[in-house]
Amino acid sequence: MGLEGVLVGGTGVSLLGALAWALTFLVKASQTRSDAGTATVTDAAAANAALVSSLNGLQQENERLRGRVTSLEDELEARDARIDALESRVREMEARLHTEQTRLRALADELAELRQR
Amino acid sequence: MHRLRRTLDTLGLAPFEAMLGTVGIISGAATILGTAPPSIHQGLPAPMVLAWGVILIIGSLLILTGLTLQQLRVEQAGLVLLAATTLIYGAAIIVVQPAAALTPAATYVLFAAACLLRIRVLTQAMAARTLPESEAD
Repeated sequence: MGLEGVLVGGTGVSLLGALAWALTFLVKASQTRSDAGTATVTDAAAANAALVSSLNGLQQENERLRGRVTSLEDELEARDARIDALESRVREMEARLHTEQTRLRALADELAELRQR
Repeated sequence: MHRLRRTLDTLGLAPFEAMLGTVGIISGAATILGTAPPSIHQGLPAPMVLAWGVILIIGSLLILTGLTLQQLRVEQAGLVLLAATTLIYGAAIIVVQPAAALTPAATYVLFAAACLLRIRVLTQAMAARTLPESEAD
């Protein structure tokens, strides 16, 4: 085998070897991208789990606040009823006051009339 | 315009490699179209000349793609193919034109060596990138 035979054989071996080596690099590149994608998905899943956990906490807080609002509404209704009762009592006393003033005025008129006699 | 400027900036990080890749595309395309370099044409059988041209184009495209997208593994794959084809070219020059081989053969063989050194540098860069900062220091 002369130099030309060595060249042809060497070329074949070199090209095949280079192709194989290049393929390993491309496979590694693909694996790197795949790993990066997996890491992204894992991060997104962790973020999602954190959000779900946070949502559960917010729902509990929401229920607690709803309970508090209901209790405040009940308290407000009770106070409204008490205010209504007090107002009614004030009106009643005002009516009595008016009656007593009328009686007092009548007695004062009667007394003045007796003094004139 | 912005994209062109960004591509030029990226290629400017390794200008010799980018231009060698461009030369590879031109030379590979010429080979496929029937005007292979004389040494390759005389030293190799036709199917192997075609394979040489195709692999030269693929390697050059991978280099330019790797440079542009900053994908070091893709760039390395292209460099391997370019190293093999330039080494074969240098060897073909020595075999076919031994009298006038020294300068052109040395040029292509050393281009192949440069490609292999660049592969080594990129491997080290990737290893450094994956090391924790404390170890990198």
